[in-house]
Amino acid sequence: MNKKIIIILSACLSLMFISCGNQSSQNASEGVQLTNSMGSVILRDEGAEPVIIDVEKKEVIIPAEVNGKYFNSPTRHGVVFDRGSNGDKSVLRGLADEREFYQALIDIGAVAGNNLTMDDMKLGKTVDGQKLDVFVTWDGLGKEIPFAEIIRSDEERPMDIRFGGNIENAKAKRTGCILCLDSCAVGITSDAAYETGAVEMKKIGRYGREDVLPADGTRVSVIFRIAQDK
Amino acid sequence: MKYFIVLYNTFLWAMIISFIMFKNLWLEMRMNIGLCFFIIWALLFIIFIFINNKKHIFEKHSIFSLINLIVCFIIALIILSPSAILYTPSSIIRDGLYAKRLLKLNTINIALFIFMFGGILIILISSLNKKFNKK
Repeated sequence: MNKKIIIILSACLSLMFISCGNQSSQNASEGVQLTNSMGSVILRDEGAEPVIIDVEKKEVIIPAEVNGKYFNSPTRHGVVFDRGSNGDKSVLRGLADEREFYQALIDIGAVAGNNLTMDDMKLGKTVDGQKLDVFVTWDGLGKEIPFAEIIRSDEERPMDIRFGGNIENAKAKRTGCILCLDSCAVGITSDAAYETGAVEMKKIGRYGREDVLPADGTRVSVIFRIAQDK
Repeated sequence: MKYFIVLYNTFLWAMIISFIMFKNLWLEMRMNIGLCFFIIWALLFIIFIFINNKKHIFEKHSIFSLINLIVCFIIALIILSPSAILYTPSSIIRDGLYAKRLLKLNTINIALFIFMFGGILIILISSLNKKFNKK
C-alpha cells in the first residue's frame, strides 16, 4: 500500500519537475544578439518570430495567437510575448520578443514616453508617449480591424494606445508585455484611456471578444502604426 | 478501483479550489493557477488515500461520486458562469501542463468531457458489478 503511494507520488513529482524543467530551459535560452531589417542590434529569445518593420508606412507587425482563456475572464494584458512570465495571461499571445518590438518602434521613429515608474502602478497615473493606431488581421478576414474592436470592457472608454517605452523595466522583469490594457510601467505600449491599476484595483474588467475574434489558437497579425493625430 | 475513485473525486475538489483562485484577479495575474491545480490535486489525492484507508469514507463510492459531480458542477456554475465554464477549466489544465501552444482549449475540453463522464460511468459500472458479485 505504502509502496503504491510512493510510486504515485514520485510519478506526480517527476511530471512537475519535467514541466518546470521545460519552462526554465525556455527562459534560459535568451540573449542571442541579432540585428533587425533596419540594422539595429536587437535582443530576441530563441524560437521567437521576427518583428516585421515597414518604415514607409511607419508600422510594425507582430505575429500572435488568440487566447480563448480571456473571452469570459478579465485581464489587463492585450498582447504578451508567449515566453515571458505573463505569456499566457493575455488576449493575444505574442510570438515576437517584446525587446525586439521596442527596438522596431524606435526604428520607425516612435518616441517613448518613459513617464511611469513602478511606484506609479498604484497611483492611477496615465501613460505617455507616441500615439499608436493598432489593428488586427488574420487569414480570411480580408481587412484590418481596430484593436479596440476585439476588446470588451466593463467601462467603455475610447482606446488610446501609447508607446510607453519602459525598456529597462521590461528587460529586468521579462514579463513579455507588449500591449497592456491599462497604463503600465512595464508594458512597451499601453492604453492611456485607463489609468494604472484600473483593471486590478478599480476592477474594470477587460476581455477578448469571442464574437469578433477567431477561435482559440488562431494565428493573427497585430499592426502598430504611428498615428497621424497626436 | 479505490485509487481511481479518490483520483476522480479529488480532481473535482482541486478544480473548484482552482476556480476560486482563478476568480481572484490579483492571484490569477501573478500565479500559474494550472500548476497550483496539479499540486492541490496531488496533495488531496495523497491525503484522501490515507483518510480512506482508516475511515473508508468512499464506502458508498458510486452515490458519493455522483452527488459530488453534480454538486461540484453547480458550484462551478456559480463561481464561474455558464459561458466561462467552456474555457476556464481547460485553460487551467493547459497552463499547468505548460502546453499553451501545443494544446487548443477545445482538445482539452474533449479530454475533460471523456474523463468526467467516462469516469463516473466506470465508477457506477464497477459498483453494479460488485453488487452482482455479492449476490
